[in-house]
Amino acid sequence: MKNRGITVILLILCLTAVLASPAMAAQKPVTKIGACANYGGTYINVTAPHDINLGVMTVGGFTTGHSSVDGSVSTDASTYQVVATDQKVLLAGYMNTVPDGSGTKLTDKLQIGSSPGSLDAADSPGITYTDTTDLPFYVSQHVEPGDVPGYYSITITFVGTYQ
Amino acid sequence: MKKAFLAIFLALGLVVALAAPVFAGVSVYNGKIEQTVSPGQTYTYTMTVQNSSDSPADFGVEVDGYGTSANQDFVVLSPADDTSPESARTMLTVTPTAFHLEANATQDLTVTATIPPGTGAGGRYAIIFIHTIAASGQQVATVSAVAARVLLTVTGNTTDTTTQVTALAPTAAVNNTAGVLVTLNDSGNYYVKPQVEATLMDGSKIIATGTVDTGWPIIPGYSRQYQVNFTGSGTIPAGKYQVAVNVKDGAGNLLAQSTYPVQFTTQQVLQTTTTTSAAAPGASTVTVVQKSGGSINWTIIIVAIIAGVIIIALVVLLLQKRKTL
Repeated sequence: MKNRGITVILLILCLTAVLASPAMAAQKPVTKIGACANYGGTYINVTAPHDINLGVMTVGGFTTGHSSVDGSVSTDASTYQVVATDQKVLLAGYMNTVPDGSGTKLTDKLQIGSSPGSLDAADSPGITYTDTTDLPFYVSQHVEPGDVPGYYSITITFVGTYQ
Repeated sequence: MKKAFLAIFLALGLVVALAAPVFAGVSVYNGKIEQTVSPGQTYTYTMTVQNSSDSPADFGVEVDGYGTSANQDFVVLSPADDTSPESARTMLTVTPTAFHLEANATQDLTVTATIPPGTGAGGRYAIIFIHTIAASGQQVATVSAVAARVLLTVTGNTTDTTTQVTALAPTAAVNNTAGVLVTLNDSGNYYVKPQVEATLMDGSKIIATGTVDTGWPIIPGYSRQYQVNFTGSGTIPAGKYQVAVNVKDGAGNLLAQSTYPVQFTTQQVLQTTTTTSAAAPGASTVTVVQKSGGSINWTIIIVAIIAGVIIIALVVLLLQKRKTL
């Protein structure tokens, strides 16, 4: 009897943990009516796509990846845009061993795009999303044989604005 | 047996909970300042930032420069890159510049614009850059941000909207659609929202026309390219033509006029409808649907796992009950 009680409690705890997880909440469509009168004025919401883990990248070839969950944008403005770029000041567009770009970079820039077939350099032009509420995100990184082994990273900023 | 089951169940639950992606979203209300200002005066504005995700998040706010590029309607410029004499960056302060927000919580930002005495007439431009802080450490991390544009008009003499057509070239558009890429430069002291009209001519004969009106401004000192496709029906033979470009402002005033020779090396197709202007998105008036979703439906996967585990648990419990009886 005591063991069964513990089992039931554990079941409830696990279910609570799972149901309270961000993934469940994030997948729920959120409908906003009107111009969000709580705070007044025009609003824009930007939720970036999920991070991408490329794993061990292939030397001499391209390693590709994409966000498992698209980003999203919502606004009550009639015209808006979201631009995705690497905005770091040092060596923008390159994956680097130090996040601010002060470490070792890969030879080639990271390519990013809203589809696997349309990729551009991560610093410029990056990706421009127009007339869409979904922000799909694809990347491709070429690693040269001379690139130094190490852990490289980059941050892509999804910036929204409205007219 | 029971212990093993419990261990598996707990592990599954924890894996699902911990592996769940965290979305760091940002909402900004009143995220645009467009104001006429006077030298020697100080103005304050309030924006509201909301953590639109379901987890706590850290936010940062900076005052940056505002520019355009050949293929972007807005560019957030770091202070080092913001060299325009029409920058409003140094006139602006914002507080707070860093804060933590629980899920769905809000924070008011106070933006103060101090216009120095003697500031000349014209526009002054900047961006209040509001963003989440990347914390994942993943190879390709992402950050959500909003560029709150600041467009100040300093009172005084007439604003200067001098604009030049600096380049024009035929484009190899999809399906050989007849079009040209027009480059405009704003060399005045005030932004322009150009309406670009291109007329394709064979001598004095008008072959086709095309227009673009995105509604986005060119910031003084910067250039922007516009793809103008010619509309109509039928095709245009390969050959040499001329393209006359008229650039007007929103009131219809002519800002620039130029004619360029172009050569199409292959037969071109006229575009049946104008799609080059920025179309208004569907989320424009009453109902805005914010949709989260991706190539993997996590909800279905998670629900399936939960259902499976519950069924196994019930079966095991029933079997144990039978044994006991």
